[in-house]
Amino acid sequence: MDGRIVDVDSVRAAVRLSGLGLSEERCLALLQTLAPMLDGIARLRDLDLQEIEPSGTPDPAGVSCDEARR
Amino acid sequence: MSGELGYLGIGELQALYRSRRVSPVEVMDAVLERQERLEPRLNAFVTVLADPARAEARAAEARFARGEASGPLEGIPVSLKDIIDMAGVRTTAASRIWKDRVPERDATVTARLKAAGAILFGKANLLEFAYGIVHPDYGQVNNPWDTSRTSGGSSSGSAASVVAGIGCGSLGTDTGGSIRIPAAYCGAVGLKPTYGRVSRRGAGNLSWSLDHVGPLTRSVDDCARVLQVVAGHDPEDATSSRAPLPDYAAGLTGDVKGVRVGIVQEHLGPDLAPDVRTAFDAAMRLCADTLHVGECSIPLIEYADSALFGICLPEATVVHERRLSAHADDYAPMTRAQLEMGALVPVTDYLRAQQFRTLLRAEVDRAFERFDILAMPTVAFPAPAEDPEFGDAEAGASEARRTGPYDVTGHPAISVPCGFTGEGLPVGLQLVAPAFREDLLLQVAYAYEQRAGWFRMRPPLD
Repeated sequence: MDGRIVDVDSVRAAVRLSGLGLSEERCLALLQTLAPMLDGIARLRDLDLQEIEPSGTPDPAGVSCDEARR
Repeated sequence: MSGELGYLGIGELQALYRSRRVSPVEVMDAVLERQERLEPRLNAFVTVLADPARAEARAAEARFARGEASGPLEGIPVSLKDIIDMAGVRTTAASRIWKDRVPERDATVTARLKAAGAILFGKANLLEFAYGIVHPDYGQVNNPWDTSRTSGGSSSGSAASVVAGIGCGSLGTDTGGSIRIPAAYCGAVGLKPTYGRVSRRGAGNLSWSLDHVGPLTRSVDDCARVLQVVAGHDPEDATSSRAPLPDYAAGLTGDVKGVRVGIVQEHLGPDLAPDVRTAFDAAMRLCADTLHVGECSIPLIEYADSALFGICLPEATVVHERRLSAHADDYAPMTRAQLEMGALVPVTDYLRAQQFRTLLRAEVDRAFERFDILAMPTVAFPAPAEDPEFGDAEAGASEARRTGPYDVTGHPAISVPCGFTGEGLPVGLQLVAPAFREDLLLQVAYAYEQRAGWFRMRPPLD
């Protein structure tokens, strides 16, 4: 398990998940079980993306965004 | 006889209807008889609309008799994945949460199928809320080629039923591969269109920026005909495109000489089962007779799993948040865990995944400067006994590794059968095209399919 997620995000998770009515034990159990996937997501932190605009949808041809703006 | 009628294509059936040699009533009876007989082995349907379907078939028969049958799918039996709304019929999403949900309106795609004359005879089983896990109330859909194995997911009932000769087509949804993965496992044709090409309104939101609706069929020709009906602008879907709609079936001539196909090297990794690699290589050798086949590299694919999960998890949690708070125990345990886990993804990682989507889309578009079509195996392995959990960082990610990237970028992709393993399980070939080039995608898939002939194989069910 990635130390970043256990130490920082587990605490954050407990706070967030309390909104779903879950106990801190449940939050930590989720992290224990599913941490590899969260670690996988965190791999994107290895990339330099700071100049890149995010794409909220794929919108491959730039068509649907135009529609949404109308 | 039910087997023979069940395996006819849309074009063949319409010719038979027009010449009055076969009636839509005979076909509907055959499909319903087949469904009832095979259901204990396949578990492919949640709801079967036998009486309404027979009534529709009689109405279609009358229209053909009067010479008034004009719809492109007139009298054609089609099913819907049970996450797509049909007015007055329950949409369960194979979940206890929605077991009694009856929508008042048709999804846009449902309305278009009805307007085209299709007979919607059933709601197909799926993984709970299309999120990668079987709910025990509904059970696994078994593979027509080996009923001890899964049909895949999440459009499992759609793929299994069409391959079993129960309907000419089915509409599925695809967020990380949920049309193409079961198509590959079952030997069906499954097309995920360009994001924005087919309306998502009324088709059960899982992850709004990854969800796509598309057809599963037995042949590319049938796939083109169903896509033609459901594609096109929908003013009720804010992400729906106004891009022109070609005549997909008209382009299926088999002439694709000179088309450049790039084999994506990053998709030929060590996780490929040997039999899958063998079938894929044979398919590429066949393609090389008429197409220019070369090697292509998309290095960022390595991170596509991370982006898929980084986007899907939090979006699915937001979609389900209210239901999760009120009815957590009604979800299958792993569906619940995945939905809860979405709340643990930091918003910075979600946005980073969206930044990555911009990069990956650009890199795939650059590949299309050298190649017209990209090719790779659809899934690394044949149908397993059970579906790997989407939340399983190894098996779940590996299953969607070759399909998920094109949900992230929105490029259209199709899976067509390209052979069998030594155990007799189908293998899928995935082709990917530039945005809104479903016409080219279908042309190349059709040319391959006709030369290879795998789509004519039938599972050992009769």
